[in-house]
Amino acid sequence: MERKSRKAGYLMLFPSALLILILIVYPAVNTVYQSFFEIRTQTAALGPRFVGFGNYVKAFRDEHFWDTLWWTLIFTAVSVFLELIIGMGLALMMNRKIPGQGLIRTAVLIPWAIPTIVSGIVWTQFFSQNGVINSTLAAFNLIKEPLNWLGNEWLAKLSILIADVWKNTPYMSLLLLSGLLTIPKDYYEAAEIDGAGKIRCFISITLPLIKATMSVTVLFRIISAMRVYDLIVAMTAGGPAGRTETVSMYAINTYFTYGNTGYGATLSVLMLIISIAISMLFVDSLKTKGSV
Amino acid sequence: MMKKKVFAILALTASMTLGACGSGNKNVQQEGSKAPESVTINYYGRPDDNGVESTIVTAFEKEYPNIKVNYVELPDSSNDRLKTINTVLQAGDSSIDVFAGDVIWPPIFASAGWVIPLDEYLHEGELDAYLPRPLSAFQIQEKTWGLPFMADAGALYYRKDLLEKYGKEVPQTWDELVAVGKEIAEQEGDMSGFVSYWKPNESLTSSMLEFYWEKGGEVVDENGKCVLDEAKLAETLAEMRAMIDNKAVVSGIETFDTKASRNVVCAGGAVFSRDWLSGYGPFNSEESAVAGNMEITVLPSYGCLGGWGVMVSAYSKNKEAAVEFARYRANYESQLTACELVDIKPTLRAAYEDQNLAARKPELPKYLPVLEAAKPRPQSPFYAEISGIMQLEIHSVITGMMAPEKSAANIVTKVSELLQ
Repeated sequence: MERKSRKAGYLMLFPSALLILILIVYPAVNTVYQSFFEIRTQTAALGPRFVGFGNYVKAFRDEHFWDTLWWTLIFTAVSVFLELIIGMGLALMMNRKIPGQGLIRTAVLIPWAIPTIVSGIVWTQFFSQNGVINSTLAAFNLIKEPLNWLGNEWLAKLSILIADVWKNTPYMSLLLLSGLLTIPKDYYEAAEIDGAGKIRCFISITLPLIKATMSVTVLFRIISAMRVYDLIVAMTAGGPAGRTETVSMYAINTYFTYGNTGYGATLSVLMLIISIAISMLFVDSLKTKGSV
Repeated sequence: MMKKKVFAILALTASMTLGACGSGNKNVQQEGSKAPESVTINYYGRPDDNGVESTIVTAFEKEYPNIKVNYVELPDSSNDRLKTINTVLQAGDSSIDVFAGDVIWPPIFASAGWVIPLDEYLHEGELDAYLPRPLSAFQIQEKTWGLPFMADAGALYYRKDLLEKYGKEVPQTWDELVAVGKEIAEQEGDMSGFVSYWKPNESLTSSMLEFYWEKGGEVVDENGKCVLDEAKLAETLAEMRAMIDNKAVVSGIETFDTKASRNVVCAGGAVFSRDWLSGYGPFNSEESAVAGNMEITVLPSYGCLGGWGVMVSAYSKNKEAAVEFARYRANYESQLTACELVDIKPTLRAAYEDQNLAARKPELPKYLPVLEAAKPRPQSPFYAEISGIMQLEIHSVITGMMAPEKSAANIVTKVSELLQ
């Protein structure tokens, strides 16, 4: 019986394993392979030329790669941190018994349900010279001249972070809410009888029990924040002066638009390695602290 | 633990994988084995706005009953279209037979050997019907790698009423244009002298080249070598920066995309605008506050040549049928259809002399001088990367993050390195 069901299990896994092999493993391996060659669309007729780690050395010396990498990392750290804090707040609020609970939970999802490119365009309008943000700030006499949100390096970065937090916090909060819902109510009742306050309950009951959900949620967000592309393309196209260009944007431009396949592949592989490293750290640190 | 790691790796590979996936548009291709005279070709075309592409495809199939055309709509932006076509052709895949291409692509595809020259398939004198400039974009080393079906070029738009009011002529140089625009805008108040879009994308490079060409600068020579003039480049960049500093242009121009710029023009907020031919329609539509007053003319020096054409893949298994369709897609009837349905500007001279068409589209003859004064962007297979380098540096200067001299030097260094 045991063996039979195991066999059935593998059989059921087969289609998705096959898909993963064709659509994920093959392209990934191929990308790694390409990264060791000088391949350019423009010289495709001459064929690829093996350069060993040449492309990696080039990336190491490529100032623009370092710029895009720093911005990608800062973007990831700040956006995921803010989304976690705000998302947790929202989840705690939605977990309470309040009238219109279902409606609120649905409404919160809206920013996340809107296609990224659309929200990117909407936020571009908000942050434009005569946009809603400038007129609001002006109405409260906070600014005299309209701010050039998307044309100034730091303001552009801030705008992108605001748009990303707005968009992805709902995702975070709903996953956290699903974690909160699994915590039995009697824990809190027992704690209350023992005289624990709200904050104490949160630190001693909620946090440890939600840790597993939280780690998966944050991991997912880190992975997707690291490869942010469409939001920034819609808002600043990497400007001003490439200061908001991410590694994905640089890699995609290099690979497809410039036709520099080999170097584009190298940039993707580097990004992959960095992502894995960060995620490993993350998974390990959670593992040692919390046992669920 | 292990499971978690494996899971993380899989999720990451999934998320980070570039390339190879393509669009998933593996169309079933009939190899034409049943009957030699009946073949199906795949055409990757421009968007089917107002049914334009499908109308042309249907008309073609009617005329050539033995060729079936499977029309696949390409994505929205030029770069995404390039990605799609690039992915298929790079793999040597035969699923694209004929496709629509931007005028800046022929050097890439021709040097990669991914498209075929059409000369041997064309009739004697067939090419003479095309306007020389749009056609020139598809001609490299005396061969024709595609046929243009959509003409476009950078043009100057100006407020006829305001120039008359202040007794000004249409400016012949950029200096004059900037000065006149600023003067009128200051007297009118609440408007800008010059509006365009300088967000870092292809139009920014085009705008810069139009300034640079006026100074006699060039980018590449016939052999594809870098001939950039650092001093002229620095001067150009400094002037663009000065336009912003002196408030001669709309504020925030460095964050403007096409739509933002056109909104300002249509609201009556600009004396001059640099836009593509496609601007004429919206500027003079019913929703525009300046309808009838926004006139079009040639830019000082040159305007960048734009537009689209059809090319035939070297990996096609039905090249003859594909060429047949390419010729049809760029012929007079098809261009007329496209002009009527979606206001696409024809590349055939006859269309501009057609009395019937002119009666319905009286603005058509105005495009002709603009197209005749257009200049192709540097014809190098590496143009996309040259443009990328330039966008970054130009934007650094116009946002005040770098000195023009430094940026000009960077452009020259990087482009020469690339073209070595």
